[in-house]
Amino acid sequence: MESFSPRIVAFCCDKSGYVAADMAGKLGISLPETLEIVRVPCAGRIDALHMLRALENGADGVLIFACHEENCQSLTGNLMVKARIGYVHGIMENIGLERDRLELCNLATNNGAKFAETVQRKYEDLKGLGPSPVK
Amino acid sequence: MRSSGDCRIAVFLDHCNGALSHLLDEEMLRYISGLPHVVSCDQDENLSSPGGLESLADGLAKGQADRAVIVGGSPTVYEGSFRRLEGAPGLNPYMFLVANIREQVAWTIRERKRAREKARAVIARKIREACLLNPIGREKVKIPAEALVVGGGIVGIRAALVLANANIRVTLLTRAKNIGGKAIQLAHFYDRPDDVSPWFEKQVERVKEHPRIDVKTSVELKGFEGYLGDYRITIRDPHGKREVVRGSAVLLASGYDVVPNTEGIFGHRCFISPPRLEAMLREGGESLVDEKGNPIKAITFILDLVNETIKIDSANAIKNALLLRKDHDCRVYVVCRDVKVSLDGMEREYRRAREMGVIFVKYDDPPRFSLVNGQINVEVREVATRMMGEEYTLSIISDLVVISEKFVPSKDNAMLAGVFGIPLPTEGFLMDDNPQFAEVRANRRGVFIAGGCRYPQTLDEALVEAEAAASGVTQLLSQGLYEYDLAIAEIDPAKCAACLTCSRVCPHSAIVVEPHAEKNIYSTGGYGGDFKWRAARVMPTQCYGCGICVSSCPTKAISLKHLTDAEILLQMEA
Repeated sequence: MESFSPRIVAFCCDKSGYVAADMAGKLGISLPETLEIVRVPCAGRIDALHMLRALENGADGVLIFACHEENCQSLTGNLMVKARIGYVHGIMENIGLERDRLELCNLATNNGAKFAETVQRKYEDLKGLGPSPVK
Repeated sequence: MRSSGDCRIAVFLDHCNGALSHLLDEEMLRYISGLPHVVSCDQDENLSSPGGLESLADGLAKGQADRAVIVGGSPTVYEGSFRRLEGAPGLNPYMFLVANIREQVAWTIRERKRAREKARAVIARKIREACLLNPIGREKVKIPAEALVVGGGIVGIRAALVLANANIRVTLLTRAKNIGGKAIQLAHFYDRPDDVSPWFEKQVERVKEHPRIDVKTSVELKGFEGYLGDYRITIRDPHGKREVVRGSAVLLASGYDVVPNTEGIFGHRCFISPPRLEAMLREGGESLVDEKGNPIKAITFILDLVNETIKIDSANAIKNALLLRKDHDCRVYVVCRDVKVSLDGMEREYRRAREMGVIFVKYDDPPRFSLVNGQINVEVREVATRMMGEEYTLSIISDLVVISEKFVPSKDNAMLAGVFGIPLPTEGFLMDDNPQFAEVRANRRGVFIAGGCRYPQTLDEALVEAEAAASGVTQLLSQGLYEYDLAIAEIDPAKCAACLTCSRVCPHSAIVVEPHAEKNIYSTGGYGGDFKWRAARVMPTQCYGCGICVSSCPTKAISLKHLTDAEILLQMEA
């Protein structure tokens, strides 16, 4: 299991998550190289299908970085994605995937450290969970 | 999906002043040049500098590329300047991508070999993604210099005057019989020493006589539709006649409501509201007497029983306390939880009030009131001395007690929110688009909110807000044209089921469902002629391009022009 390096797809809202990801880089925090960052204009752009596709295409975990609640530039984008995550969690349980493989993280533009922490924590969690059975 | 056979990509490597030099070496240059569709590969020390932008333009011109990929820092660094770059002939401002290998590769992955591999993967993916890009056009819409102002209070009046003086034709709508609103009750503003009524009456007069302002009183709002440049409000006058008024932008300044506090002992004649005190000060002249003609020697202001987060009461109490001390030689007490002085010059006024003998008493538990010989006894446990280990219960005997009215959202707010499609938080005041960056803007482009319908505030702040909103309107209307990128959501009516999901989820009320399409998913033959099917339509000026509707559409009829599903799927590939 030593060589297993989980692949993480991180959807980042352009208004918070992506800027935080940049900040994590500026702070020089090292992140796993298996992290793929997908930039979206608002977390509400992320469809349930996108999350499932990411898992289907071989991601071991999916992280969604959205703005804090009641702080969304598009008013409800982060709430919409929260609802969709709930829906996808249901599907994942039905097909035998762990819920922990999909997680929402609310942050602000200046939370570079939180971004890195979340990614690193998820990386360790996924190491424990093992490779996604979808692959 | 379109074929990617005819893509010609110009790649620019930005060394970011040496930060990326260890990754972007000769080998990487060869690797990138060898990738499919890459026609040129240029390098620069600092591409985000003005000189760098010039070399970018040169490189694009010579390579005859139709799209560009910048390899360097964060896209936020380049996007703004690239889209303004006029020197790129034939290149659409949206036909470019940024491979972020500084923040997301060079600075996060320590080991050089791994960083190189990752950088290669990121660049190759961006180049493949670049092949999916489509040009996005710009459009213009005519904006006539006309604005609608809803609300005839002081905020509406000020805004209308600012707009009219900027050569904009204004239609001022108010539910009341006359314009003026609540501000007419005030005799003084804290930051204006003299009686303000003549000044205010002059403002009202100017609005009524202004050639570019059309005042419509006693009207009811019945409907609202349209988009920036062509908003239409349906109004109904008292005789039941309906009329449609038009404007390019709308400014809502409908104010708030007050609920007087008359429960229990507060109904006694010795308890008065702040507007009543204002009236007494205005009418009473030299001698201040109560209803029975007895002179008033002591007045207590009770603050913060209601409106604890609103500073109007504090400002009014300090202003009136000063007047009472100066002109009427009353003893004045201000009983409060926290005096709010975060206003221009208010700190000075507060200090002046203390110097002139106004006594401020701070409480935690609400004071108790009782009647003593026709006067009011205010019993208050004072907390300012608590930290010295002492605690006193003060008993303040006063002839008059000024008790604040409660400020509540206008009952019209729910109607306005419904008619204009503005979100109404639980508190009941209309919401800004963004409390930090777009304070007086509503979620719809071209709709502004100012004054008490946003939140009750002191007059000078409300006036500043009126001017801010009016200048926002002026800024939009002054060009006569609104130019926008078509980086928006687009609906394919042939797939539309007219289910209204998109128009409900749209945070900017930019989607309407109307009969405009040749066909939708229900369409059948045999309808010939001018028949149009109902389908959703994005009003391009109103769309902010967030993509919420795209992912909500059950029939996948909507696509986001600047970030298609195919691009998202490509970005998540390994």
